[in-house]
Amino acid sequence: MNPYDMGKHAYETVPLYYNLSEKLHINIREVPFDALPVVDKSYYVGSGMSMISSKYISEYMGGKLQYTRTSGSTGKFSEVYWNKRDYARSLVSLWVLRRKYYHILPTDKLAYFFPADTGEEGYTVRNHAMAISRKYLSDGRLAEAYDEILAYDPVWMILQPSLALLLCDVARSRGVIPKSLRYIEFTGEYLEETVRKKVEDTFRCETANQYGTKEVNSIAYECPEGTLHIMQDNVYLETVGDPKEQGELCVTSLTNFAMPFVRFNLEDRGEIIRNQMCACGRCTDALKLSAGRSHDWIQCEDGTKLHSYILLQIVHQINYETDGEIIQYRVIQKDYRQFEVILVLEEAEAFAEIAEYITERFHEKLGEDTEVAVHASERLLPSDKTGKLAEFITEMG
Amino acid sequence: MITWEQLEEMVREHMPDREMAKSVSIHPDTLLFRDLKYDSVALIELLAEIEERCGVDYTSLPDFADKMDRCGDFYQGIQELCNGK
Repeated sequence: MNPYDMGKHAYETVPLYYNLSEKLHINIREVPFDALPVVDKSYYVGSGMSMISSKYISEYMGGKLQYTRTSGSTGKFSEVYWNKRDYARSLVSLWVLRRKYYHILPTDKLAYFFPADTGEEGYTVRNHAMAISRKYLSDGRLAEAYDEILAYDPVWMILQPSLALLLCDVARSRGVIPKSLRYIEFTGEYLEETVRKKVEDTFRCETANQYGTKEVNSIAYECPEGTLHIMQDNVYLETVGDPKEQGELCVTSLTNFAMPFVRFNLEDRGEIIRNQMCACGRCTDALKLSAGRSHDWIQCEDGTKLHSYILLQIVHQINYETDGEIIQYRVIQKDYRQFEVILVLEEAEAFAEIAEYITERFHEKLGEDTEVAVHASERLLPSDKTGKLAEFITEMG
Repeated sequence: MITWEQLEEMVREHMPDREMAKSVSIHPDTLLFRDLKYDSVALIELLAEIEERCGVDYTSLPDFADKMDRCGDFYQGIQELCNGK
């Protein structure tokens, strides 16, 4: 599959793209691929069925498509659908390379954390994987989660760098690490080398960075030589924008036919090196990421920091309880005890009730004397500080 | 080196759907994931067996990722590696 053929499939069978082509007077059969518009998440959010290819509508209506929700680090909620076979296909080269580079197999015991916004608590073990709710994190019970991890004794873990750092602190205070653990895969946030070193020193294991999204799955995977090899059988990655600056990354899925993503703006910046020969023996396109999708911490008066997830999870949970009322959001820490929440809602009438829920639950977490201001907005613009759309920002320097 | 028939037998042996494996017809255009319901476990197991039997590293093919779905491409990839040994 090449990106142009996927583009044709999208523009000829997906209502959202078809409407876009009508609006922009594009004939998909007459334009080159790079003349197709770049679309960002705002375009897809809330689109529902119009993002599904007509060839997969009966599977969609029959509940046969695999479904996942994403809020991502841009604070926009969306749903992603896959044909199950295509989903498995999209992960093939990632599994083959995990085995090649790090000797990790699908049957090796894995531990990972999942978002707690569905209200699920605790953990489950199924098909060699322990899925742990991030509610442990938001409830301040990470040490308990770590005890469960120790008891399970995974061979590998998938972690966001910020969560891995918190687990390092717990591991060091416990003085014990999982006996069988030999590999940690980072995903979901920009990886600082200082974080990687701390994690490797604490857990005495190999690590690798995996860059991807729920929309397209794996985009690039790090080999032991430190190169982020782009998964060219799964995606086509390109940069757009001013060639004098590091471009914005755009991705086209080559495997998701049910809900195609064509020139999807990832809202990250980076550089693509085509056909890079690597000491690992492979010659592929490679990715150099700029610092992006970083993680801001909640800063406390006593100098400690809290993971922003303890607040973000509240918004995710409320969105789940209100059946997806919140299209987009941002939480801003203005001062130690002053927070602002900006919401973009499906229906303006829902604002009062949702604002009340958020205020109440933020107070439960942070204390009644914390000032919480909730505002509605038509849309969210990138932060002045980071130039990015982000779920959580601190303005405290 | 393996024959097409030997590859077909291995592909069939690792199919997750054992009922389907008894009767499905496998030919060069058959897709492991869409047609034979392969998952990551099955694929890795198939790969491991091929590599052990043929004494090759499938990932040493420059375009290995493009040759892991269509059975005919898989077979061609193995032949390339074996001939290159």
